[in-house]
Amino acid sequence: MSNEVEETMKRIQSHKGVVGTIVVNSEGIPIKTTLDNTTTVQYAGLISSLADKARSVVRDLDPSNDLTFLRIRSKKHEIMVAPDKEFILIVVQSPTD
Amino acid sequence: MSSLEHSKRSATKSVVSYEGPPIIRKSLRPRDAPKQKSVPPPRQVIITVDGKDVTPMPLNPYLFEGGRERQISILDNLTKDQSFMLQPHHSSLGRVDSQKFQTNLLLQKQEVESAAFTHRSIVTSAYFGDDIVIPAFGSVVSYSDDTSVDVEEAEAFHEPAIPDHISLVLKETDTFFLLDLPSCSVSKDSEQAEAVEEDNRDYEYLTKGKGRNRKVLTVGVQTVEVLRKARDTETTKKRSRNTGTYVSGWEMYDTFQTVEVPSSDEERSDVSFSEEEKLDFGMQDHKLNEESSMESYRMSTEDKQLNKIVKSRAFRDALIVIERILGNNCYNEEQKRFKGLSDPDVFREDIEYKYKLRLLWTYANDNTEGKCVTAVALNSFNEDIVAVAYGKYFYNDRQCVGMVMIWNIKNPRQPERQYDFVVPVTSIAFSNVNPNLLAIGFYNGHLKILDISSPEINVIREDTTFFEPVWNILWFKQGDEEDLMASFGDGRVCRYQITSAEYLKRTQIMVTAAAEGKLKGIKYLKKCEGKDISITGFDQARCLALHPTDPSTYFVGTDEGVVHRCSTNYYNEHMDLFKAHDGAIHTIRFSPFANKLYLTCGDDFRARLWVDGISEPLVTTTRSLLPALDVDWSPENPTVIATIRGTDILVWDLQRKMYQSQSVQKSPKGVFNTVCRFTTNGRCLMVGDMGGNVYVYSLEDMPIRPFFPENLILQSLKRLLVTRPDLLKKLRKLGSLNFDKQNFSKYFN
Repeated sequence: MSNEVEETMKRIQSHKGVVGTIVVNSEGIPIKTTLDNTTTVQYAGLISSLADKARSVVRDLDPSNDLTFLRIRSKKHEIMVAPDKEFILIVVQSPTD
Repeated sequence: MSSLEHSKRSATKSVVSYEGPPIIRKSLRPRDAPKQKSVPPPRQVIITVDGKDVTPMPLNPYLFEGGRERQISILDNLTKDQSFMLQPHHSSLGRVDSQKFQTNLLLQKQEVESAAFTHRSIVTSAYFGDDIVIPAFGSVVSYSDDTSVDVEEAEAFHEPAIPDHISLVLKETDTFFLLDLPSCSVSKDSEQAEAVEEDNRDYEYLTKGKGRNRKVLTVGVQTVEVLRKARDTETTKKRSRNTGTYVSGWEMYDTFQTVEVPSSDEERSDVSFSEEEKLDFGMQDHKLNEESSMESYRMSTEDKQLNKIVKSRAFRDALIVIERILGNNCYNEEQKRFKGLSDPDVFREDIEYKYKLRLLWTYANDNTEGKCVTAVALNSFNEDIVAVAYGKYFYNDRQCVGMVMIWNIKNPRQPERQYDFVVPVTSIAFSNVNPNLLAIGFYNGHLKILDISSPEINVIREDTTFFEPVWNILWFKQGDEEDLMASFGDGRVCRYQITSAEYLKRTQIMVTAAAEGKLKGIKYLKKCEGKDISITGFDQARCLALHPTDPSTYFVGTDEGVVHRCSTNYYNEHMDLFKAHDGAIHTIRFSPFANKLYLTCGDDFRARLWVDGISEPLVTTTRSLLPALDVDWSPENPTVIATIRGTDILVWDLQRKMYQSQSVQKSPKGVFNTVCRFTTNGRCLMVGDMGGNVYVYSLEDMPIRPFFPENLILQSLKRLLVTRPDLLKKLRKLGSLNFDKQNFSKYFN
């Protein structure tokens, strides 16, 4: 059973430039990560609230719409957030060039 | 009310014999309630058996009155005028004046005790109020008469002999009332209306009006002391948690959605969760499965949660999207080049025709390591999607397993679909009509049609009758339906139709018999054959190709190097055949620009160019010692051909020279290449090798696409055939290099 989890994480990590992956459960607690603890907790907390805010923006504009994906591009990294009812998947990638 | 009407008598017939007083009916009138009429005591019925007095003692019904207040026996004769007499005076409607009732009963008791009569049960009803209802005890039914009396008695009593004629008198009994619910309201124009109204007025006076202020006495009553005991119970602690929630416009929208339309998707996902949960719990509960129970102790709730999440569909979809984005971030340039968004400038000044291949990316991951690529198929609708079949190449590879992976240019690192099979896969083809149908041919003769929209293997149809490898599969459209054509290792070519039934409808349309004698085509050495009898007369049918314009003609290449030209109208025979190679043929491919030209490549280390109509090869590639496993035309440049030879990838150009390739590209891993295919837009070339890698190259420094491709081809052929004037003459006689569609228009409906 844990093989699947490991396999999944490996798949993402095998891409070029991926710094880390975090899986957060519905309560906001990170349950799987490849980064160190402090960073993970920071990311999990900040990104969860940002994803909620983004979702409320989308839904307030049109209630039949829903947030599917969130990408934050910064100078140093790109953070990809896949929000869902049960989990939030966060992947941090630094650009290749 | 009901008192005015007599009830109808029920027409029940019963044989009754009694010896008793005549029926005395007592009908009591209202307001005229004599307490008791004098009733002559009924004569007792004496029953004797064998001279003994066995008269049953009368049951004193008053002994049981406590529980029988509401019982009405069916034996009792009650008519409506006797029951439900309303007492207008003192009691309100339906109310029992219990005191009076008691007195009545007592009075009754006195009477009854004096009179002994057989009676079944008392008739007392709470509705009777003041009036006494004396059941018509005249209607005494003594059944005992019929049963316990001896026959002798009849004689002892000197009864007359049984007459010949016995007349029976049938009488209707009175109606029994089993249940009678009195009405609580009275209509205004009835007799009791006045009385009821007065009653109501009294009530109101007493409760709401001035009668409220009447003298009342407070009286104390002693009750029985109830002994009590204090007792404690323990409950489980109720855990509470504070959560906040807020209501916004879309939360209300969501609620409405779930209330009105219970979405089946949610149900499905819930069900799938609960099933997985059950699986988890089942595995954990099973004590024999020690490994899992050990793991469950080690795993925290978070791990369990994580496992559940990872298995869910939403997570898989999110994963695919994230991987695509990651791929896009890494391979952005290459993807643009693939799609043709960043073509090199046509007007640049330093153009050199080098025919270079630049590696964009490689489709490979850990699972493809060591597997041999046997076929590549591009999706007919979406040029980004590629299906790659992995199987075996050498006959000796016995441990090979088959696999089909669906790759997407959006994610060059991981396949979007992976289907594992036990048997090596030899050929695949995408349907032209339904882009999600993929036909797969296996090494053991099985043929499966998969629906690739699901990540699990979803076989729509399959055929498992043959056991020779399926070397080639083609989808072709004849008429409205799209059919499959498959060529097998036993020389068969079968046509499959997808029907609504479970199986594939199969017809064998061709079998490639061994060709004997001297064949036209290439010049080849005659084989020295022994005198022994050959076992099989059929060559392996290695490849298939459809005629570009004629919908009923197709070509089959065998492993003896013979090409059969066949028609779908004539089964099991060829129209024409010629020898194309001195070894097995691997590919037959028609040019996209000049329909009559086609390339073949085979195990005699060469690739040859043919024209339909001339049975001699026009152009042959140079000798080598490695088999030519695949050849392809470029969809963009009409004269560019790509072949693979060993570990090299060669790009040829017809308009320059054919004795040498324009460029040679070594495969990066140094493994034998097995397939090569140009992409649909012609900018890229995909090459698969025996190590499981599929390289995607982009063509760089290529000549500019001409305006008149057919002219260019004709000119280049003329130049190439300068040394063969006979061929040139034949070519000129053919006229156009493209088939005239009008000639075949009668076949198109």
